Amino acid sequence: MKEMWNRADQITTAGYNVTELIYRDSKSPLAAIEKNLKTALFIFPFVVVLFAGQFLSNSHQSPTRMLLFAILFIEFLFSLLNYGLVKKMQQPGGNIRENLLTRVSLLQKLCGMYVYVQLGLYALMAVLLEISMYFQWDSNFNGWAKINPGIRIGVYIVFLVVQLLIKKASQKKLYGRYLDQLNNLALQLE
Amino acid sequence: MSGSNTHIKKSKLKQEQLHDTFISLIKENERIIYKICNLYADTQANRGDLYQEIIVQAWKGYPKFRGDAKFSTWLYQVALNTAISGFAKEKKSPLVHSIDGYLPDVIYDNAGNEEAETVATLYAAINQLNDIEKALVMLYLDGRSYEEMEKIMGTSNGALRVKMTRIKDKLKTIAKNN
Repeated sequence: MKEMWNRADQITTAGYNVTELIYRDSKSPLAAIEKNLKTALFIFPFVVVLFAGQFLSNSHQSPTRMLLFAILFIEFLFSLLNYGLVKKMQQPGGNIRENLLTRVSLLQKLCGMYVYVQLGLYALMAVLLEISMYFQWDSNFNGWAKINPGIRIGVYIVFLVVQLLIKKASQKKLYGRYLDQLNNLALQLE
Repeated sequence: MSGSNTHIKKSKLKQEQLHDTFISLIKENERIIYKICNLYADTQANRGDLYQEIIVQAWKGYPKFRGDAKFSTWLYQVALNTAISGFAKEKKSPLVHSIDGYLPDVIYDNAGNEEAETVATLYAAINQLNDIEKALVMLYLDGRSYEEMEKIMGTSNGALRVKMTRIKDKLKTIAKNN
């Protein structure tokens, strides 16, 4: 078999131009995700400029607007974190076991954190909404404040559950097959 | 101003040196990449994509290569990590010596029909192994020592020997069946 292998080694050729190839972009789906996250990061500075302009023209900002800005800022930080993780996940160095286990751990971190941080943000939004209604900071919420608190909490819970299901499904669609593939490889290494 | 120009020139020169060294090292070791592409990609187009991906990843990772291991060992790691655990597009079913006699279209420019068939049969047999086993068998057939295999795979020497015995048995069974 070794003889056949050596013979195969001698007769196989490819003829690619390495000098030209090194300047091409990675075609891997992780690279595509990294690109999308990077694009999303550029949007936030425009939001900052927009809010700064509004803040300068009117120093009395409504709590709703402040809340929205805070959520956008946390989303931005989260995208930044995700971007860092996806970039780290593409590191090709290290031995096979180490690289594989790092990828699995980063991916699990990314999937778990994404879902629960997003849910945490929505829950925080609901709590701040309730506080804002209690202190009557914003007249826009007067209609919603008149509704029975039990129904309001029920709506929040349904919203959070639906979000959890949607986020989990989208994460599974995006990374599920890859995570399964990596776990399968980790089993092969045992 | 002139200080900053000198700095730019120096870093440009350093980048050019890095580029030239990388290209020459890749050319010396390109057979490693060919073999991995032949093992982990099933068609000519997929092999081209994998080859490109390995080169891109190796170039990205090259500045971190400190030279405390052989370049070939490092290249095996990068190429195998890219081929095995890189986020690849959906893989087709592994190439096997199937009922319809389908064989991987390995490029064999310098071979006659019979030899080409033999090489394809060899690849088809190895392709019936799982991804990790394929990597091990390739390193073994390439004549890498168990110490080097340990460095590349991150698996202990003892575990590698046990695995290799199992793989040899598997390949014997495959050869018998064919």
